[in-house]
Amino acid sequence: MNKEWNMISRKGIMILCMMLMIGLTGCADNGPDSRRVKEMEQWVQTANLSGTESAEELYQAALEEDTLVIYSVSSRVFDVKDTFEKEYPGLTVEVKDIRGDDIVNKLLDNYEKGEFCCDLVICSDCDGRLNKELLEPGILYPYIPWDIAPQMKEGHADRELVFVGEALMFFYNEGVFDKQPISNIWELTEEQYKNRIIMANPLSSFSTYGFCTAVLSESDKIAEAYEEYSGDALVIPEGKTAGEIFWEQAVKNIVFTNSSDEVMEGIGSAGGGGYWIGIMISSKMRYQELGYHFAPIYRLNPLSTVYTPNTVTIAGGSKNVNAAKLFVRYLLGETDGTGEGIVPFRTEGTWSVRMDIPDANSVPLSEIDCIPINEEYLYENMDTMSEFWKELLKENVTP
Amino acid sequence: MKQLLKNKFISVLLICAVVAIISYLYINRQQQEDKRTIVTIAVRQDDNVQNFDTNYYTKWLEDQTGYDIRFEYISEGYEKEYLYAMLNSERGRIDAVFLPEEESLLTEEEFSNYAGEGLLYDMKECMTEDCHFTALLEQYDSISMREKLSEDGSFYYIPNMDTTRKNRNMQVMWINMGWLKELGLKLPETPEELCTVLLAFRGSDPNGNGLSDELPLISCESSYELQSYNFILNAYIYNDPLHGRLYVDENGNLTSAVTEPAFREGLRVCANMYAQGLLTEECNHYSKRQLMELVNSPLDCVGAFTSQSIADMIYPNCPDILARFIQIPPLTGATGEQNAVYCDYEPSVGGYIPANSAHPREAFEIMDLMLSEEAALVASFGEENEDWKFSESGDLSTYSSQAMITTLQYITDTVQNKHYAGAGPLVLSAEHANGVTWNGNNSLVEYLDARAVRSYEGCYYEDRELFTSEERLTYVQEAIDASEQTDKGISQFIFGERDITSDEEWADFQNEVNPSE
Repeated sequence: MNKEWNMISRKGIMILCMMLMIGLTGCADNGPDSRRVKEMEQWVQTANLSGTESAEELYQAALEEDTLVIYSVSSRVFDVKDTFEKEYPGLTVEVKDIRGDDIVNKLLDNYEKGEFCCDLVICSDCDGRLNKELLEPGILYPYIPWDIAPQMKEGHADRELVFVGEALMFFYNEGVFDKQPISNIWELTEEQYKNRIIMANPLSSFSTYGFCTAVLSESDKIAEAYEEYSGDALVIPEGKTAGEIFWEQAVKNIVFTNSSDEVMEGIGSAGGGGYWIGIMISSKMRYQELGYHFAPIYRLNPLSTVYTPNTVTIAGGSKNVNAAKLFVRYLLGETDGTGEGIVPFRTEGTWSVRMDIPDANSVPLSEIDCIPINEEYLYENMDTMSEFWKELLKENVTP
Repeated sequence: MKQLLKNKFISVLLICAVVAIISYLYINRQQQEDKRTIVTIAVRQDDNVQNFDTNYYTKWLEDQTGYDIRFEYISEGYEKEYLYAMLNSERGRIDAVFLPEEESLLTEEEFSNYAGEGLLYDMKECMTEDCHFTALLEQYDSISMREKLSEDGSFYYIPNMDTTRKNRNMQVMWINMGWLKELGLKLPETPEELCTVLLAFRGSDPNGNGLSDELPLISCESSYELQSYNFILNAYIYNDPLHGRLYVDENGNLTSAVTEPAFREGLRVCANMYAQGLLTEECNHYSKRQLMELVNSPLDCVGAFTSQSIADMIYPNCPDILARFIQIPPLTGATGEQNAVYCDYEPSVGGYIPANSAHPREAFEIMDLMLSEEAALVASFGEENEDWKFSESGDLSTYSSQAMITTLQYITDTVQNKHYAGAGPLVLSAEHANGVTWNGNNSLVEYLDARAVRSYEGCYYEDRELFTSEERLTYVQEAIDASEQTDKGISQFIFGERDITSDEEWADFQNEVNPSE
């Protein structure tokens, strides 16, 4: 009987194991990742992102769709929304104005949950995450309108579609200084600048992170600038770089804040706290028209500016892909570049991405001490950079 | 066969034993639950709270106290009637009442009358040295907090108090940035520049609808922060209506600002603005809600307004309207005056116990617990590690200081079932209230408020501490008590009922507000 009992138990266990294996295999086949990949493949086919539809064809198709949802780092998209809705009656746009880092996290989360609630993404890629974590895995897709593509400047319509050129740069308070107060980046480490410099927290501001890391990646130039500044060669301890030494010293003078808007208020408004130098996104120069009194530092040894282009991409799974395509065309100024959608982005502190549209900024990039952002470098060194900044911020954030 | 039977018998016995244990545990729990005291709380329904009974905060309070908390909803539209009837009803129906944050259903006078009539339970009986309520009285400037919360030594309510830096600043002026851009104007920095901007707002159709429907600057008499002229007057002399419009003169004495020539000059400018149609009177008698509808209107017809928080006037879920307005720092007058009014924390009624409560001590225990730090964190941010966590060093708060709280799921102003959306007793420490990280949303009202208040903090009146000093408290209180007449006169001068240019009328006004002189 004992044997019989054991037999029954063994058989039971075997059946259970088989069921478990079948179950697990089934799960693997139908797991969320592979399911999502299949969904995306199907979506890409129907989205027809290399299509040659005209604006009118897209408009007619978009009328059958729902509200277009845009995740944007730029509040100017609200202005574009207003004119777009007037230009294309019957279409509605919802803009969610959020930070770059949060856009990436939100999209990853949406993708994981299979919630395709975003159609269009407007963001800069200042740490390479947009490219590596969203574009390469097929969560975001570039859409380059076929008839606008020939007008795009080199490097602005490859993996991602850049619709406006911006830069992270140094500015000074014109209420305090008549002219640019510094000519060498190392001057910012001087005692007189203690609590007089303001910049966004690089761990929460995408573009500031890009700027800080670009400085770190240009250590040779930073070291040379030191020699020109002090007359002596910079002593670089083992395991350190000139860029790290610069930031370790400069950070003691810096007051950190959340965003470029606060930097702008800090150096340019009557109640802003009277900061002398700010590091912020160049597009804030449009607020000079409102009376904010700050000016850009175009020439600085070894660099004053890091070019951080703003991209527009369509979110995989978008249910309103025709409206999204139409909005992209509109944002780029339509075929001939005269469309209203580009107007809010044609202000001081922005540079044109199209050959047939002149720069809005009075000074061209060629006359600025500007370096391009190196996304590959940024992404590869992301962990090291983050750790470096976390340590610096721990000691230097206002209590 | 015998062995098989034996095995089966043992199995049956085991199953029976397990069933017996489960039954025992279930019955025992049921009995324990039956024995739990039921505390019934009246609360007003809130669109942002899914269900008070199944709310995470309710479960947390029940676990901590061992009481069973049930809710009864205050009839909407008949709140005052309900609250009065409940106080006079038969014993034991309601044990406590939680009032919504910032929107008091009872006036101070009504509440005081109820206390006077003996309809409210005096919580003094329950207060011990180590209870959270006592600690609160000690924590915040013991004299004024005791003064504020007690009525002749008795305590009839547990407070709800916003301890954010935003709440320390009386008012901010918000201006329509879209209109400024449209007309190519700059942010005004002086009263004269403000006049120029408002004139352009009035005459240039900045909303582009072809109608002359623009309201350049709105004002509302319902509270000091909505009276936009208070903001303008602060460019002439320190104008603090919360402290009887007192200021410190050149001899170091507390003096009434309203009798000074600089104040009269400010009134003249405001009256002139009204006469030119720049400062509108038509919404003066609107409720805050009506004013809100006006500012949120898709017609885009408001040029500027003042409020403490931008959320007082613009719905938090309207990012495009929030993006339309920007703060302007305090204006600077010709003599260099640039003032912002600093407020004391003002506790409102968070919760109270009717005198006819069947379980007043239990109700007090729950409300007292709600004043603890742990409870305040749940009540403000939800569940720890699910909705929020303590920040790492180096994180920044919305005020750009070291953050204390990192929100994982931002559940303020959204439908949730984690807390009571600010209703009931709640006093979060200033350290936590001002130490919340920004979630990256540029339209987040807390972020917009934090940005605005920082441009005002540098203009707080240097001598403000005199207002709350023990030595001057009575004098200040007398000035505050007499401010009704002053407020009325100011409004009359600005809105044309009296002539500010007439020396005779000015002398009459001075006699009214300062009869002893």
